[in-house]
Amino acid sequence: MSDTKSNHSFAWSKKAAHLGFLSSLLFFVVVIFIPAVYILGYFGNFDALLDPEIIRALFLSLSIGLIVTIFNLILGVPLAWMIVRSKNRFLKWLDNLIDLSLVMPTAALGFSVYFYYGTNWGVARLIGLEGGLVSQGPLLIILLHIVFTLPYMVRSVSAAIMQLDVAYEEAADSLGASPFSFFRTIALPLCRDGVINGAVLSFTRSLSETGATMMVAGVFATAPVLIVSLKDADNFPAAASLSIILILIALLILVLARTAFGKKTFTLPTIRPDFEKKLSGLFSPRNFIVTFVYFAMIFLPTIFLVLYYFMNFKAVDISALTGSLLISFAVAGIVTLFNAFLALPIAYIIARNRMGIGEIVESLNEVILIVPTSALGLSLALFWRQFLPWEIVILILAHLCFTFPLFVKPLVAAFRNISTDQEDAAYSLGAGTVRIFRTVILPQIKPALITGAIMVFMRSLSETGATLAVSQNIKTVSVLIVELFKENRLDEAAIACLILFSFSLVFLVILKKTQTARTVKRV
Amino acid sequence: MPEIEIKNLGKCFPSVDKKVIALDDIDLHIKQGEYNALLGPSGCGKTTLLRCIAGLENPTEGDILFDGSSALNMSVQQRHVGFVFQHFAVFPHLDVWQNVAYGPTVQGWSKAAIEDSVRSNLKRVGLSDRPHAMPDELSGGMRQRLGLARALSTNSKILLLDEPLSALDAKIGEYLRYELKRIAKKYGITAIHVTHNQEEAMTIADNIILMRQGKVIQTGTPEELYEKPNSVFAANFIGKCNFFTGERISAHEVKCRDKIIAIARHTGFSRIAIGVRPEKIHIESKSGKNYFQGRLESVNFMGHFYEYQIRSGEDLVWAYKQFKEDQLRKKFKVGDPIYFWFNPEDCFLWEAPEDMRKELSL
Repeated sequence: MSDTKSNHSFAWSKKAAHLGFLSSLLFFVVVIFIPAVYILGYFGNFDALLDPEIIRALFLSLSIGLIVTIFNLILGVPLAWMIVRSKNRFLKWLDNLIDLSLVMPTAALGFSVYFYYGTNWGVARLIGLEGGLVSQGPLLIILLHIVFTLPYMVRSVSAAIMQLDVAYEEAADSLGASPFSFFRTIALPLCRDGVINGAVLSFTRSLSETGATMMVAGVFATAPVLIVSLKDADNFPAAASLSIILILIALLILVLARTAFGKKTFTLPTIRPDFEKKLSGLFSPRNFIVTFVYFAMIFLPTIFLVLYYFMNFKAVDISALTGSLLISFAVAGIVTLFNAFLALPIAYIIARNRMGIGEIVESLNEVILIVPTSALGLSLALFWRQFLPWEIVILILAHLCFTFPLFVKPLVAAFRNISTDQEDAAYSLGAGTVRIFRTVILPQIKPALITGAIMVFMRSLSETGATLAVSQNIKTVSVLIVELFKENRLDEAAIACLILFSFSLVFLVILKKTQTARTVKRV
Repeated sequence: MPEIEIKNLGKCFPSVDKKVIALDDIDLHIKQGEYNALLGPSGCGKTTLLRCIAGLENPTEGDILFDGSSALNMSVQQRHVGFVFQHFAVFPHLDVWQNVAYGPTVQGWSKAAIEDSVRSNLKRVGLSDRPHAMPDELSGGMRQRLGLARALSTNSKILLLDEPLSALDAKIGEYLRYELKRIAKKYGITAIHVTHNQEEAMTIADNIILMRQGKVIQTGTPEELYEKPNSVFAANFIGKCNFFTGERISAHEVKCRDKIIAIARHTGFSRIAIGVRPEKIHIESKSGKNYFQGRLESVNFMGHFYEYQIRSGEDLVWAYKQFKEDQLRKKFKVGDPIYFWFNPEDCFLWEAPEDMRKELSL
């Protein structure tokens, strides 16, 4: 008797779980995915593309993305290698700093980078120059983009290097390979996917950044900046066309990267031992050069706003900020909470390939992640304004959309790390679905949940492109920083940046703690 | 003419609170063309020693001489040794042929020489028929053969093997043992083979180097180590051994438990450890002079012999006997009292260690 009863309840819990997965999937498609790419429905009106202003902006964005990506490859790959493989404690400790510019809101970064390179407060003073070293324009945009895209490169390459068995290097050494030969013939081919992934992320992030770019661009406009100004000028057809182009470029890059992934075989190229041995000589000062460049071009520009603030310390009326800060934190909090509930089932579907659609859902998630945010924002605005009159709701829905993939990614990785055997073992011991989730799965994915939550919160706090595209009257703190900066109200902007900076510092510390901590909790 | 000499070698790893001594004053002479087994329990420093010889680790003290000249300032590349890894470390993105061609290619050999080397080394290890297979299509045993072919590809005369068989299935590992020895012998290679498996060391090596806690305990042929172990640890680690402790009564007599036993050799120690191999233990169903008493705890069929476990006081004593089955049934039953004894010539005698239990833990 009890057997049939428990069987019955087991079947019921299975059905409930299935229903839960289906509804979260529906929500994902209708609320997250379709609004994000809704703008593709405007496909067809391309008169605006003959406009030289749009062509210039596209060309500028693509070339900046390319230069930034190449620079990130040159600096990021050796930096990642050094962090993972160096035995030097200080160099290993650098690992903790890398994520700083990743969690730092880009508007604050834009401010910081501008003062570091662009004024006589920063690096110019160090080398005895009167004015700024770099004025507003393409070069400053490149320097800014390097600062916030480098962590993506370093993180994805270092993840690949960590997977690389140290014995491969020892084997190559024992066979007489010079360091450069080893790097070219073994390490690079085996870390391919990580390098490609880092390059894709660098390029797409550079292609999409809006707020900070506005601060340093001067009279130049990159494609996402132009989308915002076209939208502000109520030139919707042109803005939509440019958005579609950006989305298509991002999709093309994603498809190209996907086809390049997973190539497993590799042919041994010709090797010129003596030449490569000489090249290996360059490897010895590598750590010093890489560390120096990192501090000069990434770390100092990132934290420079703190120095600026203390050099200029003044009491400032921050009443203009409080409203924006409140809105920003409320939106970020709501979005983080909602996303946590939605991302869990979606990540589970992806990781466990539920209903056989794991891969498709993962690709959709990937698409949202690389779509330039101002294009995404425009798409969301066009979609939601048909149904919803409230600006704040649309703002929240927009933030929900572009932060969602950030929550899903770490969760997918965490689910994949939990062997299905553990679930089976718990089932065999008589635990139900909910209990298994609470006592077996949740404790193990907790670090990923915290990581996801922080990434989502910070991204929501810092995003400008999509926010500018959907908002009319409401100003989040990042948008406000850009505006204050443009109105030359630098002291207020500095305070706002400093507040965001302190938050990112706190979150960075929590992030690092959760990555190293191992929690054991009673059932 | 590769000959390796190791002089006062020491290696410390810095640790948080104290330094860990991995190698402590090692002196060794590795003769040309000899197959050496570096044997010891895990954590004894054997892999560290091998990696120091290869140049993958730097010793903190002492010297390593290759044919009389110091190798300490030579990089791994310059030492020209073949290295075989526990988990194979074959390059996963290169096929069988390219894996073996890697060494000669990075050393800038001519095309013809590379092809020659690959062809002959694949033949040596029996992989000639699958030159274009990818490593993940190969079984573990085949991957290790590939690892061996790659290590031999640059004609190095020194082969260093780090637990090369422990990641393989037992049967395949056993088979590959003989292959390793055959190939090393055929081409006059000096081999140093790290293992924690004493049976593997016994079957494969000309010379065994037994290590413990960073020190070399004993070196010698497998026979020497089995028949003349220089310590309780050596006797315990190599083969099986029963241990008893006793007190010296006179130059020829030891008091062990309540028995006075005659011993074959003079010993000056006051407390004495006696070791007897299980095959030297005699068992009887009736008591006699200087017989020890025990109770038969279990009898295990081991193929060509039976293993008797005798509970005697706190000790468990092993005896190996080649009885026929019917004889055995008649003579001893599990649970019965049983008596055992040994010849004075058959025991090993050492000074009793302070803590016997610690000495017997690995």
